[in-house]
Amino acid sequence: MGTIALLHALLLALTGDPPQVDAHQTAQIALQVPWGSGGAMIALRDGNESSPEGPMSFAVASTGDVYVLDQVSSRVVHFRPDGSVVGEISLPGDTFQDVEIAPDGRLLVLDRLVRQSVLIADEATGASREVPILGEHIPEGGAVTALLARADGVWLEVEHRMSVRVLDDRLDPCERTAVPGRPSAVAGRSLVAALDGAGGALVEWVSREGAVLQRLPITAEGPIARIAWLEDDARGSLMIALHVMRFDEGGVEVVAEHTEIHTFSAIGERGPVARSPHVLTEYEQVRELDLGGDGGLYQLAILPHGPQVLRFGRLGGAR
Amino acid sequence: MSGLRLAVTTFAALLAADAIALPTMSRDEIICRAKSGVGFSYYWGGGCWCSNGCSPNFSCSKGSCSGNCPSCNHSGSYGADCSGFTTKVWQVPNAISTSTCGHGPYVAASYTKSATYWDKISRSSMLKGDALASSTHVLIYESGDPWGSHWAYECKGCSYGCVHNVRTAGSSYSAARRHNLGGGGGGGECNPGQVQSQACGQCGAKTRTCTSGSTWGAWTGCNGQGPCAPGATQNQGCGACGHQSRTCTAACQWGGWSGCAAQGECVAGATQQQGCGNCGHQTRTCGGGCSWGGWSGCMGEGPCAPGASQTEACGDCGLHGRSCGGDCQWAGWSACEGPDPEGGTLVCDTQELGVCRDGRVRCVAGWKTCVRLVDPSDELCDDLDNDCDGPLDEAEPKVLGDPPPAWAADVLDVSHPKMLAPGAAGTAWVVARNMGTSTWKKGAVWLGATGAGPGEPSPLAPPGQWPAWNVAAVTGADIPPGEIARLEFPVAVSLKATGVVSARLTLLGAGGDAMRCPHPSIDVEILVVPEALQPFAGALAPEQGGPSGEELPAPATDQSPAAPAPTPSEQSTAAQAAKPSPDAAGCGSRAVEPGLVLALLLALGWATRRTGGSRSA
Repeated sequence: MGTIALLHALLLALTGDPPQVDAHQTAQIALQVPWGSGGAMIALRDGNESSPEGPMSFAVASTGDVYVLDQVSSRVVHFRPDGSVVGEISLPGDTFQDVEIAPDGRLLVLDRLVRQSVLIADEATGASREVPILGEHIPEGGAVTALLARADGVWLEVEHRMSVRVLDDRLDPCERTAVPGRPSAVAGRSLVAALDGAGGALVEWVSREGAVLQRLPITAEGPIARIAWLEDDARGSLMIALHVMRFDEGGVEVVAEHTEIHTFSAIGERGPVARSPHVLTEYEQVRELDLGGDGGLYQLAILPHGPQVLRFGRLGGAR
Repeated sequence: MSGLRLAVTTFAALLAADAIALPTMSRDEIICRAKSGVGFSYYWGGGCWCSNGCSPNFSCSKGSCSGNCPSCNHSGSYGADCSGFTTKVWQVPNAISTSTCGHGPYVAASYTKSATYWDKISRSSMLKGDALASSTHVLIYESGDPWGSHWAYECKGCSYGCVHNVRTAGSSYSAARRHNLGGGGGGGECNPGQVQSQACGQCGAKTRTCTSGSTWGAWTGCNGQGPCAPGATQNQGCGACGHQSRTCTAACQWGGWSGCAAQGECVAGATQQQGCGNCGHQTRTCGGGCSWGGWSGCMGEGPCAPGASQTEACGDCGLHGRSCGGDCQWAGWSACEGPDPEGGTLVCDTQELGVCRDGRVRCVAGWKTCVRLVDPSDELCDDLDNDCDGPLDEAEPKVLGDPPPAWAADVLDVSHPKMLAPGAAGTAWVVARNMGTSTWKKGAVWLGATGAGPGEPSPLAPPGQWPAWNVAAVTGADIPPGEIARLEFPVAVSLKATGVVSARLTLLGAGGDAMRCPHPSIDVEILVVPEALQPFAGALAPEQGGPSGEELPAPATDQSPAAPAPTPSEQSTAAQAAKPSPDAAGCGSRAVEPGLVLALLLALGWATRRTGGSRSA
């Protein structure tokens, strides 16, 4: 907690007043809970010569329910939209790093480094099973950068470069196929994104065979240091979240940073851009933002008093 | 001075000792040492592991960690925490084997700022083997990935151990670069084989690859460009001299064309036609400016407007009209007709005869025409020329008119001798009804008798016994209309008479004119029979009377009618008629010669038939 406060103070010291972000003013707080290991709490683990940990991932169901991966407490906590706790799904370890909701409602939880498996958990029955992730196209668990549930199965993204289908639509292990980037919600397409080395980014819709269908060059209000999230919906509307950093003249010290969420229509027309003051902190996050099952754009912010899930309207413009 | 020299020398020696203590390492060697630690446990406060080249050597126990560090438990001798791992990988401050246990003097926060053996650098310039450090954690950076995440070697935490993974690092992490880098993969600006992409042109991309000398190769050409630059617009003509535009999307692809704006009123060259005037048409053509030219003149018109009507005079009293049809053509003229002049009261002469002569001026087919008031009809007994052929009541019309004529008679019966011997005389009578409107005054109505020829006396007149030589009798009393008169008169045949002697008896009005209808006349025929044949003839042919079985009303008769005033020519005849003549039935009988009996019988039969038939003729 002290580290968080210190980080926040540092941020304020660097940027002066908290950034005035239009989008943030209209963003809604979907969930806010305190740090802790109780029922309606999420645990935090300070670093102290290790990687500090907060909730690394979250997922939002079509109902608006929020699942927060509280891996420090070896669980996933299920919250209703009003913030009350529905329940929790216990995990067999504290090294899970990503969570996703399968189309049939079951939970998928990824441990890429230690257990090197995907846990499939049925919240209603309590049943669960684990499926190893190492194999064709995935020789090393640390290369996995995301767990993605799609209509045709479960994919693991590798190095933000390709994705490998490891489970079929019944969540059973299947013959592995790889596609460029990450699978789109639009059948037969993939999304490929990359920083361009000049402060911008590129996003491409590509066929599963790798042919570029459309390319979007993206610039932000400042240099894009990192792509935080990329996802589209079944209509092809796209969201890409960007971590924007400004450095001092020497290029060493970060003087300002924020998150921008850019949206585009299926034909590449630019949509609304949301700005959030919340960025990745020293607490590693595998999934900071997410396109919820309800179409909303969500961000899991690590704040001094506890995690906060913000909702930035719907992809496609409507709130 | 010597003291100062000593001090300087000592400081230089210390610097030299640092430089000597910090071994030169290539970036590959740093990564190799980091890689060899993967799989060993996280050991808070520890910093050693066994390696075999760049691989871990698990012949040494990798150890295990449990709990929540620093209050955690570790088993085994090998393992490292994050700073112990980095310090051992970098070999700072001096060369040291990975298997030599000991944490070293630096904690994670030590790497967040420049120090004796490293410098803080910008994150954007990181190369493999550099470090990323926050106040609580430090890791060895290997490379970036397309999203700006990092491949890193780190002793991550108690549960994780030392790992190699792609991970994120917020701005709380700063980059540090070890001193004394050299050799393979050292000191360059990039990692050999690293590929960098950059946007170019219109959504194109160019790439460059890091050479084996850790320097960037040249950029490739700009590939995969779209057809347009984001935000660019394009205009084109459309529709009727309108224009539309499209905008280039962020994906460097043209968006859809906008709707066609500012169009003119028509497409150049188009023509338009409309009706005009009387079923005519006119056209106009769209000009090059997409506006309509003027309408042409009206062509193909008909002579009239639908529904129009026209009236004009015709003849000398009529009017006729016509109306215009839907095809703007006049229909035919209506019949020429008009009102009768002066209401049809103008009297005129039709130049016809009889009742047809009286006419009124009418407008017939537009012309003033004298039209008879009465059309010809069958002749009536009315003293008019009903059939308009000139004569009045000719051929004794039997149907009385209304009113009937002033003078009209219906002979109801007649009686006369059927045969007389030559020179013999008899008595005859005629019964007739006054059918006219005038009263037959006493002595004013005569019973005329025709003669053998014009101007000759009747062959039946007894000399001197009739009022006149051609008048057999006159009324002896007034006979009002509807009443019956009986006129009796003598008849005789001359001595020279033979065969049949006949005469027509006709009633004459007060003016001496013969009555014309309905039955004013009767023919009388008397067979002249020699006296010797009288008995036979009398037996065979009794005196003729009225119609058989017909009962006649009592006539107003006068056996001694006053003779009408005779004409000079009749005077003599009247005188002759004053002499009585023998009765046909009982007087003047004479002997008939035997040779004539057969002829007499034949003649008698003929006479009988003729007498009976004359009534009905």
